[in-house]
Amino acid sequence: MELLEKKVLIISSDIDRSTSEVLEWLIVKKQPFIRLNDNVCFDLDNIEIMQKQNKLVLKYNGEIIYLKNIKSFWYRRGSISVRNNIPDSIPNAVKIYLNEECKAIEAFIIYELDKLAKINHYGNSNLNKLYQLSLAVECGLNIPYTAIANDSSTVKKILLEHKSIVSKSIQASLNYQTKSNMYSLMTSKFENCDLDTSAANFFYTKFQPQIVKDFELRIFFLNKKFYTMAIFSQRNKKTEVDFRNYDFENPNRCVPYKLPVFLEKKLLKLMNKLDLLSGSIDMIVRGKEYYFLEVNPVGQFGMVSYPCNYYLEEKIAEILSKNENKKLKN
Amino acid sequence: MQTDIPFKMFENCILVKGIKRSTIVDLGRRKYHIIPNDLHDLLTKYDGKSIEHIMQFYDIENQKTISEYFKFLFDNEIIFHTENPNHFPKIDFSNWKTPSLVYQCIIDLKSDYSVINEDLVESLDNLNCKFLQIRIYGNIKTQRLHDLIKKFENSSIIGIDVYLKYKSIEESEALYDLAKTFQRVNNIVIFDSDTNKQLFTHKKHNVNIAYVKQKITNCLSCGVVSPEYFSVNIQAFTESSNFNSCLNQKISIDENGEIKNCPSMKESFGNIKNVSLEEALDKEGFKKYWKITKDKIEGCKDCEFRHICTDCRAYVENPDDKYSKPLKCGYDPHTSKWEEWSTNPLKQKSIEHYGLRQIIK
Ligand code: SF4
Ligand code: SF4
Repeated sequence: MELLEKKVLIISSDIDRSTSEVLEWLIVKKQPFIRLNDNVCFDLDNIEIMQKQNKLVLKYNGEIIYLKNIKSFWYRRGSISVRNNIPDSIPNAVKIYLNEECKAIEAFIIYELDKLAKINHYGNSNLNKLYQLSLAVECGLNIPYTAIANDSSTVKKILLEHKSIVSKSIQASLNYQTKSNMYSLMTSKFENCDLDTSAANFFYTKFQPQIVKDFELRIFFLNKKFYTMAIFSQRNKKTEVDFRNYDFENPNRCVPYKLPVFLEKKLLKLMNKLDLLSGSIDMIVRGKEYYFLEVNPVGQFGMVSYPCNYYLEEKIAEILSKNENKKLKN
Repeated sequence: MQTDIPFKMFENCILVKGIKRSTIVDLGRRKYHIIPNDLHDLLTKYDGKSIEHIMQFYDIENQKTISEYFKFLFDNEIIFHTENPNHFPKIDFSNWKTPSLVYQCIIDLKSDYSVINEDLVESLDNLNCKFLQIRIYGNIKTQRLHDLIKKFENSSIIGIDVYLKYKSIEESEALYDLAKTFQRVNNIVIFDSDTNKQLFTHKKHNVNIAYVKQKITNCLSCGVVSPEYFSVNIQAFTESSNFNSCLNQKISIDENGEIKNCPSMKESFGNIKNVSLEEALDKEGFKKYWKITKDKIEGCKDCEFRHICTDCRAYVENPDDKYSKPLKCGYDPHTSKWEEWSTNPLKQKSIEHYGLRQIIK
C-alpha cells in the first residue's frame, strides 16, 4: 500500500525555462512532481487492462512510475516512446512486426497519459496547419487566402492577383548546420523576381498574400480564457533599416489586448474542435478584420506572460496541482 | 500623425506625476522621458480621443505646443492611432508575485570566507533565492574566489555579482576565466580603481567586468541614489508599486556574519554561525520594511522618479522616522535639481548619526 501524495508528471526538455518556472510555482504550492526531459523512453513494467480500472506501471531510469499515483500530466516537449530491444539479426518482417507491437503499447501509454492531461495532449501536439485553417473557416474565422504550389506558373497567377505574397513552410520547421553555415527556414516575401530565379518546378510550398497589418496578436489560451498580447512592429523609419537598433534599442511594442467577445466565441469553438486545452494562437489585425494564422498546441507563453503581467506560469501550476481530476472542457 | 483618428498610449508607457514635472516610464524600451506636468494632464484627460478633439479647446499659441508634444510622442512611439482604444486594457500592476521567499541575497566578506558553505547554499535553495551579490572588502586569492563561486553551481541562484577591491586579486585575466567558467556570474565590479573602465563585456552571455573609481570601504558606501541606478523594467516597476524597491525579499549577511535585511541595517536577526537564513527570515520584524513603497515616503511621494528609483531605508534623513527620505539622495522634486547630498547642511546630523563621515571625501 502506498499512501503517496499524487504527483504531477511533466515531459519537457532540459533547456526549457518556462517548464522550470512552472515547477517553481509547484514547489510553492507544495505539489510533488516528476519532470522527465528530452525524448523520454520508458521501460514498461506492466500493463493490465481490467474491468474496473487499468493498471499501468512505467520505469524510467530505474524509477518506477505508477500511473495511479499521477494526478495530472503536462506534455511540453520531446517525444514519448517505449524501449524495444529488437535484435538486429532477426528477419526484417519480424522486426516490422515487433515494431508495430511496440507502437501499440506506446499509443496506449499516450492514451492513458492524455486522460490526465490538463494543459496539452501529447496526441495532438503537432496539429496539421492546413487542417487548422479549414477548421478555422468552419468556425467563422477569417484566414488569409492560402495556396500550396510547386510550379512557378501557379505562383505567377497568385502574384498577379495578390501583388505581394509570402512563402512559408507547410507544417514543419527546418534548422540545419553545414561546416560553414547555419540554415533555418523562415517566412519570406516572394516577389516577381524570385520567379525568374527559381526553377519552373520546386518543392511544395505554402503561399499567402502579405497582409498589411496594424498589429499582430499572440494569444495564449488556457483554462477557457484568452490571454492576449498585441505586437506592434517597429514603424520608426530611423531604426527600421538597422536590425541591431531595432532589436536592442526599440523592441516591438508588446501590450495587453482585449479580444472582442464575438472573436473569443469563434476561437473557443475552434479550440474545442481541435480538442485543445491550451495553445498559442497567432492572428493579425487590419482595421476591423482579424485573420487567424495558426495555433501551436505547445507554444511559448513566457513571451506573453512577462510583458503583460499575466503570471501564466503560476496559473499553469495551479491547474496542474488542482485536485479534482476532470478534463477542463466545455 | 492623423488628427482625426483617436490616439492611445501604449500601456507599457506609464505616466508618473511629480510635484513639478512628470515622467513617462517606458517599460517596453527600458527608458524614461521627463515631461512637463501639462503634458501629463493632457494625456490623462484625452487618452483615447483624437488630436482634433483636443485642439478645439486651445488657442493657436497652445496648439503649436501641443503639436510639438504629439510629434515627440509619435517619434518615440509612446502613442499610436486606433479606432478601438478600449481594446487595449491597462497592465495590472497591483500584484507582484514570485515563487521565491527571498529574491536577492547580499553577502559582505572581509576575511572570513567560511560563511559561504554548503549549508548556506542549501538555505538559499530552500528560499529559492535567485540573485546573489558578494562584496569582498579585503584581499582574496583567485583560487579562493573560484571555489566560493563554484559552490553555487546547481543552486537556485541564477545571477551572481561580485564586488572586489582594486588590486585585491592577483591578475585580472583570472576574472575572465571566472566569468567564462561560471555562467551565473553577471557582473564583476572592481572598485577603488584609478579609472572607470569597461574591461570586458559580453552581451550574449550577459557578463560585464568593469573598473570603477568609486571608493568602497564597507557597507557604509551603499545606498547612494542616482539616475545611474534607476531601473526601468516591468518587474522592477510592478515590485516597486507594491513593495520596497530595495529591501523586499532581500536577505543579507554582514561582514561579521550577522543576518540582516541589508548589511547596513542596525537590526540583526542572529549570527549565521548559529541561526539559519530560514529561521532569521521568520523572526518578528525581519520584513518590517518590505511593504514601504515610495508613495509612502516623505519627499519621494512627490517625485517623478519614484517608481524607477531604488529606495534606501538604512540611511535616511531622519533616523527616527521610517518613512523618511533616503539620506543619500541629492534630488529635490520641488526644484527639479540634483545636488551633492553629502554637503547639504540639513543632512549633517544624520551623516554623523550613521558614522558616514569616514566614507565622504
Ligand atoms: S537599504 Fe540602503 S544600504 Fe541597504 S542595501 Fe538598500 S540601498 Fe543599500
Ligand atoms: S526623491 Fe526619492 S524617489 Fe526621487 S530620486 Fe530621490 S530617493 Fe528617488
